[in-house]
Amino acid sequence: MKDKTIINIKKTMLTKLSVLFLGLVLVLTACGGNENAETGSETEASGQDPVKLGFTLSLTGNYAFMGEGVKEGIELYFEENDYKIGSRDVELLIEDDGGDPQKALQNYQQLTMNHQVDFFGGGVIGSIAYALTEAVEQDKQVPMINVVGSGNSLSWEDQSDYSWRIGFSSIQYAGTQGEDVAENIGETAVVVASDYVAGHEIATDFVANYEENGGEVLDVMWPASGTSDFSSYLSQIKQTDPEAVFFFFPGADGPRFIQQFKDFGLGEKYGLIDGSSVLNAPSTIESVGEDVVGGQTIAHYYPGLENDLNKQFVKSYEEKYSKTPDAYVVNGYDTGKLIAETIEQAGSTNSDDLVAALNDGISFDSPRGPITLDPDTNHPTQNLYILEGIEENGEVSFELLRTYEEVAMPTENPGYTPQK
Amino acid sequence: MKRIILSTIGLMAAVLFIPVVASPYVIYLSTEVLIMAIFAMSLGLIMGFGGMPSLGHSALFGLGAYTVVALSQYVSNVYVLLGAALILTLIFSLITGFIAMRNTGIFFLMVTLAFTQVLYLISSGMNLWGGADGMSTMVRANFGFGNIASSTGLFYMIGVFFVLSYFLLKVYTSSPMGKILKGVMENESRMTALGFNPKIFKTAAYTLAGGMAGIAGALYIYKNQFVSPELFSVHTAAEAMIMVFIGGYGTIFGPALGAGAFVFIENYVSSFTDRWSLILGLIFIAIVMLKRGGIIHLLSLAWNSIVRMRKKMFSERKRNVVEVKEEEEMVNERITKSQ
Amino acid sequence: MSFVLTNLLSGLTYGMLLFLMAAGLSIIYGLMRIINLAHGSFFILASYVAYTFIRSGMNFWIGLVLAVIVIVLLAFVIEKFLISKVQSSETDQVLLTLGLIFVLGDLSLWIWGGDFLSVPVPGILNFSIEVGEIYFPAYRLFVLFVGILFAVLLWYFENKTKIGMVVRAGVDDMKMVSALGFNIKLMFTGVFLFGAGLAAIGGVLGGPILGMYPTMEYEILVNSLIVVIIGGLGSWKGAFIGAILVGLVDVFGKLYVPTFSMALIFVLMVVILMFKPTGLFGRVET
Repeated sequence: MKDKTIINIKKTMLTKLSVLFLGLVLVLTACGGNENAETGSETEASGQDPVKLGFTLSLTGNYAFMGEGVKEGIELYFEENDYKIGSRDVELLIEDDGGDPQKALQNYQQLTMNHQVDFFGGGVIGSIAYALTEAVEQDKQVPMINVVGSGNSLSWEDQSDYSWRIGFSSIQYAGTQGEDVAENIGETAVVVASDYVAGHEIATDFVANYEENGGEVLDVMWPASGTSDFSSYLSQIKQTDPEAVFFFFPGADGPRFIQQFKDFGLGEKYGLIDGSSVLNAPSTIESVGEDVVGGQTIAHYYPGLENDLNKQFVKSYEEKYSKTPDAYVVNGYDTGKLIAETIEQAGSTNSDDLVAALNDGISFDSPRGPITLDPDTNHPTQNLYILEGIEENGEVSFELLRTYEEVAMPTENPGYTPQK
Repeated sequence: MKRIILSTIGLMAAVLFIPVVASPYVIYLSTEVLIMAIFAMSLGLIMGFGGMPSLGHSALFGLGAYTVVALSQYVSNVYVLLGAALILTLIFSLITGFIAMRNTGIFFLMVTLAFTQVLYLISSGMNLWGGADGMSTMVRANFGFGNIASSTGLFYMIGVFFVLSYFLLKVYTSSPMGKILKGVMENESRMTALGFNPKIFKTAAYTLAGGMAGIAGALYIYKNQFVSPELFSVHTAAEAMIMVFIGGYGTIFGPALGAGAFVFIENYVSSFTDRWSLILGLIFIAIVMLKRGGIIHLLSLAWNSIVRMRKKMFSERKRNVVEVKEEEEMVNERITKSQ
Repeated sequence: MSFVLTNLLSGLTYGMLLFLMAAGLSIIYGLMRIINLAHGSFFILASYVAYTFIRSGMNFWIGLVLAVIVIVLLAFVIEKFLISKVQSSETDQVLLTLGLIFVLGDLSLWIWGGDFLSVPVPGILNFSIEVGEIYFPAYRLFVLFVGILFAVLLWYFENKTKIGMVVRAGVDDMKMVSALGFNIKLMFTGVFLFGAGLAAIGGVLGGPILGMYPTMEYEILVNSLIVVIIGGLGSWKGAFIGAILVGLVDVFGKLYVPTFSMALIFVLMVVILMFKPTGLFGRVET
């Protein structure tokens, strides 16, 4: 290292790179190893393994409002139950996937491989629900609760014994609405739905059921998701002149559409029917206020629901977060409850026992009313509520118009002609 | 050339070594690292050696991934699938490179962004390949000696591609082609005056990087078995850009180190906090404001100070002062160049 | 006919919001050669701040002014401590301002949450104008008017005031302007704050139409970058024409080729760049 300095430097560059690279690997390996070591020591301390529950939720990005709600619901449930299932402690691990299915898959691997969770949950948006269901089906290691994802085929062609749903499905909502609108609103309708898979599915289910019940769909329009200005569609609706306008825009597009619908003076003329459960979301009411008045929507939950469990639920949620709970919070809350019920019935956290318990058909009382998980579809059979926005003394709220009781998920794909 | 072979062997040894000591989850993460490293190295080539900051590199990654998934419905032969992904991405990057090469700087950035956005809109808007819901595949790699299904097998398979990519890039950048490319980045008009057509060299590098990104995307499918339009998003492109910068701009191995650091840091940080993107943003700002270059530059500095300390201990003062100074100058020069 | 006219008005309204955002982006680049990717964050932050003021009971117009002041102050801090340090390197600018997008975006997610929020329409403009078959919200006409007003102001500023002429000369030849003894640093800061202020006004005015939600800054940024690229960097005129073009293509594209309406804008940009690599009114050679 004395004479040929330059050459030596070059050589050292080489060696040092390899050495440092290896060093890095070792450090990281050590980090990875730590996780398991910690769990080991905890086991000894408490005498009994804590139940590990892992979730990947969309806490940032476009769908953060959904993920946040689910997270709050899960945390509320376990807080109320002192983070215990039976006598065992509960350890919650919640990861953010930002609405990206690729990130969700990584989180799934981390939670199952690194943390070895006993129960898994996720699927705030459709694509993530599909990706995760596929993954748990292939691995067959840990059961999963699909917290929101509403794709129909998750109960039909893509059904997995390892993936169970706690929300609603396209056909459960839009099918019921097709019937309801034909019977109660009018016989001509225009459908405006977000131009992506879930939008196509919802539109298909609505149109088929609406027409089966005597309605006529005059036009179907497909704005791209992320559309900020709906005026061109609104003027088209005006030209078509239907009795009802059925729309499906999850996320930020929904409130925007509702607001512009009113701005362009369509509110007084046509019945606004919301298929995305966005009209009655507390955040929509907060941001677009009286624009929701007169519109109708469908929900598997709304905060004004008359039952004792719900009153208690609303009260404790409002105390903790000082806002009104929405359907996503209930999905999260029920996810907690479903996991607890399943583990209690199975009597262990062995995945085979858990899947067997789920397949026995679990029922429980939820703030949304009684629900039963149907083992034929892995989907809850539940009440659906038709609501209308009203204004009373300057306060906007939702009034229950009709209840469809114990609506089940169809066990077979009815094979409607796809829209689009 | 000797150096290149030596460093490639070193890298190979490191790759071989990882599964021996790592837990299954770390192997899983390291597989991700290797894929992202190929991707980031290819972007590092056009950014650090060609002066082309692309926000559209995810177009090629996504295209490679989509090719494998779309074709895997009909064929499962890994040679066919990877070959198709490579050819398609080479053609795509040749054409788009040719168009984008008319522009530089922010214009180049926007044109490349446009390509990836158009692919994003097509993949999410049309009903092909699952649309916005994405699509999964059951395809496994079989190079003629059985399905590669275990995570260690997958790691080694991708490791081979990683080492090959590194070797290829090293050879390329030290070849006349690579030197002219760098010359073009540093002073385009001078190279034009010398009789080289800058566009040809830039398009060549862009196409090579495109094919490599396509292969990275194709390999990604063997790990994740799932495509979705998010692969085309600005976010994916920005992440690759971050890896290049964290690791070290203007080097071949830097972006690979950046990929490693990024994947592992993200994985561990996001377990503790939901504010990962805040932290990421702060890392960005820190890298720019501190002007210290990426990890690879910091490592050089650290190593050199160790060497210096050792030299101090072993006397021979006069000479060492000179050497140390020379060394410092070299490192500083490298850093200024890369900034 | 009324159908086309309604859509025309909508396209122009959206174009004006893009113009307010893009004008600053373009002038800042023209003068300082700085690509501020975080410009979209100013836009959305302004609507968030205004939302907070207005929801707490404040008058819309006071909320507007306060929000613009807050954003200009923020821009001042960012310019002084960050942006001014990376003037020489384009790559550093991209990296730094990309980092700022992440930081500002995550901070607003932290503060305002992930829900869709919207600024209420000011009471005085909360009605619709009906002329024959055309039915159009008054507020949108107001936004259209403000956009045109700013275009006129910019024209006046550029051609009839001394500072405007110096700035214009600076876009063409910075060295000469500094040789003439003008305080370049002050001018840079001034232009940067002015651009941020324009984006903030656009953001607050856009609040009742576009609303706010996480990741919106990317959408607005990408669209306004397209605007300045089409129009040509460094010229507010380019931004004005580009914004109108993008606004109209957006609205009519959705009508006639719904699936490809977004892609259409990108294709438009690439085609324009193929024939005119510096955009329609580009003054800046890159």
